[in-house]
Amino acid sequence: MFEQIASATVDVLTLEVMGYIVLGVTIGYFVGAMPGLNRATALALLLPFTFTMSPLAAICFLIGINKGGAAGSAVSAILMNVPGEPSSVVTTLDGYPMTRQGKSKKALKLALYASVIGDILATIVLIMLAAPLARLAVGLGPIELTAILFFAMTFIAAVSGRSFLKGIISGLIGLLLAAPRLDLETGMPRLTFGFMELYDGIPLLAVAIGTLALSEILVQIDRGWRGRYTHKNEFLHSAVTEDSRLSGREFLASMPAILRGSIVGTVIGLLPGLGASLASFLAYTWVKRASKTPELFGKGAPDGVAASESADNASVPASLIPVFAIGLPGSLATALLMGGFLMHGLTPGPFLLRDNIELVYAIFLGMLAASGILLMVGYFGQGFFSRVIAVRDTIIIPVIVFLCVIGAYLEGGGMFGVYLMLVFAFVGYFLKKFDFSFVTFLVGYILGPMVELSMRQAIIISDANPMILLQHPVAIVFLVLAVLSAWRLSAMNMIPRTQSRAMKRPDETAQPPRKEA
Amino acid sequence: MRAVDLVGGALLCALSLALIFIIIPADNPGGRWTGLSPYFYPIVIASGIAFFSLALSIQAMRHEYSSEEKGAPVTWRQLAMLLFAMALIIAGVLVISYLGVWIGGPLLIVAIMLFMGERNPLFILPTAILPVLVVHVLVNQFLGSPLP
Repeated sequence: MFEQIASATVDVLTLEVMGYIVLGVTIGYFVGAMPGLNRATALALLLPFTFTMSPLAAICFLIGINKGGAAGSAVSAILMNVPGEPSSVVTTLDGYPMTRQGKSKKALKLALYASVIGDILATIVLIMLAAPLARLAVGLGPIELTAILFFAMTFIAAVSGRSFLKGIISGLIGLLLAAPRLDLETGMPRLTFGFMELYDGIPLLAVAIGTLALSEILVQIDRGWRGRYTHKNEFLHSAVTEDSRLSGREFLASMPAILRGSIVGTVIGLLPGLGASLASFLAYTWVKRASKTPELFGKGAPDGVAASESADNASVPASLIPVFAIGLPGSLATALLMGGFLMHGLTPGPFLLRDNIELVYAIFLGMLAASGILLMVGYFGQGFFSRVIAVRDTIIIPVIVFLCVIGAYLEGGGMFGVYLMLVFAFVGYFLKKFDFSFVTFLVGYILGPMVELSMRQAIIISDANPMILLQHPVAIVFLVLAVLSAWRLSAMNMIPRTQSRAMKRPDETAQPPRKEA
Repeated sequence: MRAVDLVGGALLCALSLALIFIIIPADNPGGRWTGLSPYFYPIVIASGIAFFSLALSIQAMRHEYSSEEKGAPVTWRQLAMLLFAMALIIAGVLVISYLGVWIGGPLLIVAIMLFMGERNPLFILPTAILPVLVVHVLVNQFLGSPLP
């Protein structure tokens, strides 16, 4: 084991890998800080640029974007009251009032430290849990795997949107999109309608860039017209004297909030579909309840920022635990990361840990290095990023549209991939507008081949006799859990409503996430 | 009742039924296989979509929604904006496809900037040229991949 760790350390400590981690974290931080852009968009756009990288460098680069994005989203939340990502909505509650009080730099530093601590703690949990869970997962057969996938899709559908039915329909549409390809068993082209470009399946990047990046741009474009795309940056316009120093005592006073946030972020991140937004919200609620001065929350309490940001960042490595253990992504970002693994010929799951442990150790070490680099990038770059986020959308959006076209072109399908991407942008726009869950859609699409394979194997093994389930108690447990999650969670449908209710504040800072000037 | 979900559910149900009864049979290449048909998986999934879409329509008819939820998710103005933006993007993609990225790229960027209301040439010119230049260097020189 130590030999493998030593070898992995050598692999990570190369100029290529470290350079890509720095680049990934910096890009992620920038994208997270920009209102309207998010990690998933950045991951979708930059996946094609990883083709020529080594698998380790590519995965570390993508993880760097993910980590940087989670931390960077606090910048615009604190300075502009516009969360860079949905998970930073809670940060605006106290971050923006701190800015109004002339404590923006203090809030930014606290958010950064909380993010890094949450990130490191959750990465350690990932390292400790992934291998034992994967060892358990190796023993799972197709019947158990089918039941687990069925449970995962149902659970994500139940918790990730407002409507369970829409969630499950999105997941099924995603699964269906994985069908056009050469049939896994017979090798016959299926639903390809003569397009040879579809023999390997619908290109991941056409789906990801179209539904995540370009459709989001289309939603933003339809919100404004002629100069309505600007935000006010308090950092640049503040007339209040700045109280920028975060003292050691202030930082230590926020440590309990950071630890609580890290715990909540890790637990919520572990469960597929729940997402960082819920983690931030629950951590904030817990810290507020435990506080001796709950009346200060919503008016600029540093603990509010610390709890929300540590939970947000802790959920990033934690969400990779199911990916490494059983190959199950639970969020948009992890689904895209899994896509990155697959593009580089790696299948995340128990067999990756068994057969390629050195690479997995190297990825874990890369993640820890990314946390340290995140601290550096955030510490030295916060002033720069605070100014850059004031760039007009009329500049950013057209450039992203151009990058979408190039990204879809690069996957190998040529202009065919670009045309498909345009179709999926249109589909994604309406999925968004009609409240269909993107997470289940993309998870369904990524898991499609795995679902089909395990389903077919299960049917062949059981000879299509459902009574065989009696010999597989693990499968029964997951099927029961699937039914329960569909029945209870979707019936309660409580998460989004509770969140949206909690986000409403009576004071002047309660603005919609993206206010048009 | 929420008309959007009712119509959306019915439409999705009709599409999945069309998939099961028209599109999938039309694709059959006529080969032979043993065991499960290659179309088993898409038919199962399409049946699932049909079932849950129908359930969505029924739910939309039976449940009471708040006035906020009942509103149309896309206004005519937004739809017009979407179609116009898509038309611009498609036109830009076609220009890129036929004339290459050096002509199509800047045209696409400028068209969207003008559409979004940007009129300052000091912003428009560098934004139109710099990203194309950076992408050209990155993709052609660094990644070694061809561009259109």
